[in-house]
Amino acid sequence: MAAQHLDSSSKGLPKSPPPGTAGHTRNSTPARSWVGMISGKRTAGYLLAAPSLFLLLTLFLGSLVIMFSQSLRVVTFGENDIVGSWDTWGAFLASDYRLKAIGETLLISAIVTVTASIIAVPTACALHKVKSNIWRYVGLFVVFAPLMTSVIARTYGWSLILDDHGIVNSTLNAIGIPPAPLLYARPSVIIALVHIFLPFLVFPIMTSLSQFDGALREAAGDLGASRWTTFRRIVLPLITPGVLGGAQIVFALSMSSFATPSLLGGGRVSVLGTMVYSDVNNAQLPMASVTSFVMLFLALIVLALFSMAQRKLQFGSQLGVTGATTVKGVGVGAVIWLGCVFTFVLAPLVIIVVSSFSSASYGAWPIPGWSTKWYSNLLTQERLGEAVYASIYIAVWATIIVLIVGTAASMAFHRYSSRFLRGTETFSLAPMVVPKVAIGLGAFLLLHSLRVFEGVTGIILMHVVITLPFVVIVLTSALSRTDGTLNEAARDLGAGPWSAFRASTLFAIKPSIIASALFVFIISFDEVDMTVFLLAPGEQTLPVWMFTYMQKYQDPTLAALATVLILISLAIAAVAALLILKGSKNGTSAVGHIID
Amino acid sequence: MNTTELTVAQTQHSSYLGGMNFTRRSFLAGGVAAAAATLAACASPLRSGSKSTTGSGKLTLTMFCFLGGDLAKMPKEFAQDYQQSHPNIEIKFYEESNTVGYGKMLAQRKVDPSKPLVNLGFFNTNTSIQGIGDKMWQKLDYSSMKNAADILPNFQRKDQIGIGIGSDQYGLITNTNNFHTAPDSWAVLWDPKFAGQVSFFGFPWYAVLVAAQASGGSLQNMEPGWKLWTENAKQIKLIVESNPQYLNVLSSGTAPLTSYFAGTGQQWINGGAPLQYTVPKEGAIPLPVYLQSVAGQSQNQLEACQEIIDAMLAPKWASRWAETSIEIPANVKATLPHNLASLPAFQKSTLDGLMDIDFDTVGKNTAAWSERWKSEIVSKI
Repeated sequence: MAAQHLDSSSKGLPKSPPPGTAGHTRNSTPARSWVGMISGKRTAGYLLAAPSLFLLLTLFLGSLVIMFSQSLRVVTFGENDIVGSWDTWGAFLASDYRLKAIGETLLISAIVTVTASIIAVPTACALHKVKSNIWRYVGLFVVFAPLMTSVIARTYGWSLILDDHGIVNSTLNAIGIPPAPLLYARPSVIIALVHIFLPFLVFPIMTSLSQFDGALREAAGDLGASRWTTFRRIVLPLITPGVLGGAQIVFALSMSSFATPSLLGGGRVSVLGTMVYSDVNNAQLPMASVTSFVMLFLALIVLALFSMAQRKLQFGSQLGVTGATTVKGVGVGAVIWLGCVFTFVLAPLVIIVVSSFSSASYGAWPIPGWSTKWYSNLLTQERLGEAVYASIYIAVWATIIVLIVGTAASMAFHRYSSRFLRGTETFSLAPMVVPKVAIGLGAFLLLHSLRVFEGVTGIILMHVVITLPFVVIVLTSALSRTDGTLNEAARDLGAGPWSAFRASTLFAIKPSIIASALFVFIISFDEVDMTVFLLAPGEQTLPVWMFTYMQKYQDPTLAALATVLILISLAIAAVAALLILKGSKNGTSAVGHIID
Repeated sequence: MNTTELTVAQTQHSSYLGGMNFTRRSFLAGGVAAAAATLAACASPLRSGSKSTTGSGKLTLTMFCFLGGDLAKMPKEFAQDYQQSHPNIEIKFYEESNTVGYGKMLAQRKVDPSKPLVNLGFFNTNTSIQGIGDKMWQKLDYSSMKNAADILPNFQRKDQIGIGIGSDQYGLITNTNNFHTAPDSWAVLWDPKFAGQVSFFGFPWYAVLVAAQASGGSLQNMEPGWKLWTENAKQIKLIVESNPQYLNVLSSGTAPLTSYFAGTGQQWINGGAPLQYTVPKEGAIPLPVYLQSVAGQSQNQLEACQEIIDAMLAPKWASRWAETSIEIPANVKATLPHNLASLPAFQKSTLDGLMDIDFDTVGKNTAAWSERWKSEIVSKI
């Protein structure tokens, strides 16, 4: 395996190339001592990580400090809060109900992560081998489609599919299998979480595959390896960083999810996320804080294990050697597999689209008649346009900022090794696991106490903080597959640091940057739990508008809105596809690089 | 693409840039820069309503109103009318659920009690009691409010912290396809005949109360209620967490039996859902809605808030509140809208039979009861 040496240094020294390479030659000039070089490189690493670290220390850690101070309070009705007491922590640890929720949270997160990984690996491999760029692009869009609908709409779709008399159980009944209790229990929660989190695994794996040297597969075949052996011994190890990166995201998101367990668990699935939400709603801020810290503590341990595994399993130079692309073409098995996955992904969305044309104002199924009145109703809604504009404004700014600071931080975490940076890397993932409702409350208290960033700036910066982990995970995973010697070679050929970075590293990780941008934009655009705390009275973003509408009316107007959003996404995707396909013909498209 | 190709591609792009030709990359970079510049040039997209005075010197007040159905209609109509007769006052709205909205109000109070998030508003009984515990409210002066004397005694408080404008009630809601004959007793909730058919929204303290009363207990002694529900937890099909979900499980027959607000139930029935609301023979549970003035405001603001609250209690607006919220009006001079008069929730027998609830006891115990409900009952469903 070429250039495995690149990742061997992790003892507090910068990752330097071995003797005989260009990098070694340049670094061994008498004018620059090792000590100076080390401290210089470390300084560069710290500078790259500094913007992210600043945001994390001020906004996220600041919110955590406030939440921690809340956790040391005891609230008694009609009396002043007792301050500086550990009683709420004691109450948490003495509660069997809450301790069981820790086990349930970890169990569900683990099952969701493993299941999603098992589905995502063959899906990504099959999509990667689809010959037609157009169909490959359509496949990626389908996998992404669930992210474009609200959780309420998706939940309704799943409840119709998984109900005792729903589509799944009716089918089972028809073939003589007794109905399974799927809805309002753990299975429905797991199914719905896998459904929504699948794109977070498929995309990183596809970016891994896009950096995969096709000649390796060919060489394995020439040496007599079967397709399975080639997959197991060549492909799987090389895409492992992508799998681990995606799995990290899915595990963390599963841990902090509350809407799906609340709505599809029917009360039977008690996880820590639902408890935090319930505690905040009941004005039990100390218990909400304690539960959030327990989640954070558990998640940091798991995420640190993921990071360690990723460091151990990372390989360099997968781009390099021959640059041959994978031979395209899928077999019947892969087509059937993709058909099953697409059915799974699209089924609840089809129900949402059909419901949007229902003549009934409540959830009647099958729909009693057809009507477009909910689309007309959508057009008459006050302030919907303002809310859409606010969401786009916030999401675009958050995406631009987080891509800049996140890419710099990922470079620091990948290139410069020190305990401090490793700690910072793990800490940068923490916002992903603390329930957003808790972060929102902490940030509200922080920003209003300090009287800074009270407005859209604060919301954008908090969106940057909560989306930073996605960028760091995806990009550090991508960087672990890049060939560091290219950068060194470019420097030796006289390129400045920025030109060398742009020509080698940035070019190689561009697909992952685009994947990160997509994730960040969608997450920011769809964020409601934290944002609802940061908006002043009278202000609305689109998800908050939807949340507000849902509380007021229970008609299919939101299904109509979800359908419109899917159509707009489809239109944007179609335009993007044309550009990408045009670009891939010229060999210059970044997303084309993913889908190639 | 191998290393050489990569370098060549990069070089080609550089040469295009050097020749000032527009490449796709420069176009995209320019697009991002233009988007950023446009966004930077755009004014903040968020419209806030929390400043106490506007540029024109008007006194601006933010009123909290409920999120749900037509519950914001009357406050907005009132504000329009009031602002015409009081041009120096501007009323803005914070439309939110009591749970989320109150959480933010409490957080703001912890940060800066002298800058409350809202100035006045509509709050349900539980939030009103919670607010008393948190010292959130400003005491009203009933004697200087001309409409206060017309408010029914059970909507007035001895401590004058808030005053009722109307009352919703908890009764039974059932699916008409599953229950051809409407149930007439709270006992239907734990009747084994309907095992696995009951749904509740969040923590239904009232379900524990009626179970306690049916077993010889009371609000002060809820133990029999807890025991009954622990033994009959399997009655419950699911706990819902949103109104759309509630409507769906009730109207589809997944969980066709519950106890919920008469007003919300009627809204669903009016929308065509196959549901019915019935008043149990033991009596419905009233849920008064209070108007509250928030503590920590300036004297000017407090005076304006009290005047606005008094104006909203007038028969015209109390009647309009009853109509839009589907509630019993608190003002004895308010006329009951015709479309409500025939509904079960508004019959004289219903009003006479409403249970007498000590909401201070409910408020003091809600947090502990909620924890107990989740750990002892929900964990067994």
